[in-house]
Amino acid sequence: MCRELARVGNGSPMDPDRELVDRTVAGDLTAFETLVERHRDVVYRVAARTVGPAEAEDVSQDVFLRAFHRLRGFRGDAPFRAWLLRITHNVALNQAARRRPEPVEAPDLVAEARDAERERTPADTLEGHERRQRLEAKLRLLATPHRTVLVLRDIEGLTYEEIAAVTETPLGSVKGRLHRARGEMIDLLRRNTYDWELPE
Amino acid sequence: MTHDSGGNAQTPVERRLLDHLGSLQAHPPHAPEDFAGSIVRTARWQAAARPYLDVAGGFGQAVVTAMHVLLEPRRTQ
Repeated sequence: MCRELARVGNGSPMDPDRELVDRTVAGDLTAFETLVERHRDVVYRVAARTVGPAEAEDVSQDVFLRAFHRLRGFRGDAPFRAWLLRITHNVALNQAARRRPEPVEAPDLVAEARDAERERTPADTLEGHERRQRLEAKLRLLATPHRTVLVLRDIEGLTYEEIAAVTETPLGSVKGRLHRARGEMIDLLRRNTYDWELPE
Repeated sequence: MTHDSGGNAQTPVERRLLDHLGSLQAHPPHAPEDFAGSIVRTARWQAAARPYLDVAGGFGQAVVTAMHVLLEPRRTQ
């Protein structure tokens, strides 16, 4: 797994973050700030799509502070970004496991009632923003391990090997989870009264 | 990080799903404006407090160990 994690990144033998990590460990907090600026977006995106937007900021802060305190233990046999995403994955999973299940069905019923009303109006009046919100809500209905793999692969664009390393899951399991996650997502969209224009 | 989105879709319905997910990719959520500054401020005071917390933790542990040593013989008597 360490070897897999070592491959995660841009393929460059030199980790572009290594110098900043070393400076942070030496006590230079401006270097740490640069690391946060460089990676905040990917951490925030993955957190938001794993635990939901309401908790994304708390989770992301937790990730960076944990990383800060563990930085002395960062050996550099994997890129910093992959190491950070692994922490993100673990913190987000813990957060998702701790909280009570979201009442996701209730707002969806409201949305579906609006759909029925909208059938009388042209479909293209539905704004992209609302469409994306609805898609995000469907995404959150997936089981967390499935949602994580779908987010990392189909939204963040990581390779299977990268996902295997970040989630500490065998490659075959990653592929299996992705297949099931896509199938579940398709079922969820088909059950919605809104027309997602999915071919048979 | 290698970007490899959209690959390995086997069927037309999967490809359509990836189109929809692509719309999420195109409109990502953003971290708040002062996100990095806030984290660095927290990291700064945590780093400053850490030595004291380590000392306090070590002292607390020593007290617990001492109490254990002092009280343990009485319990066994």
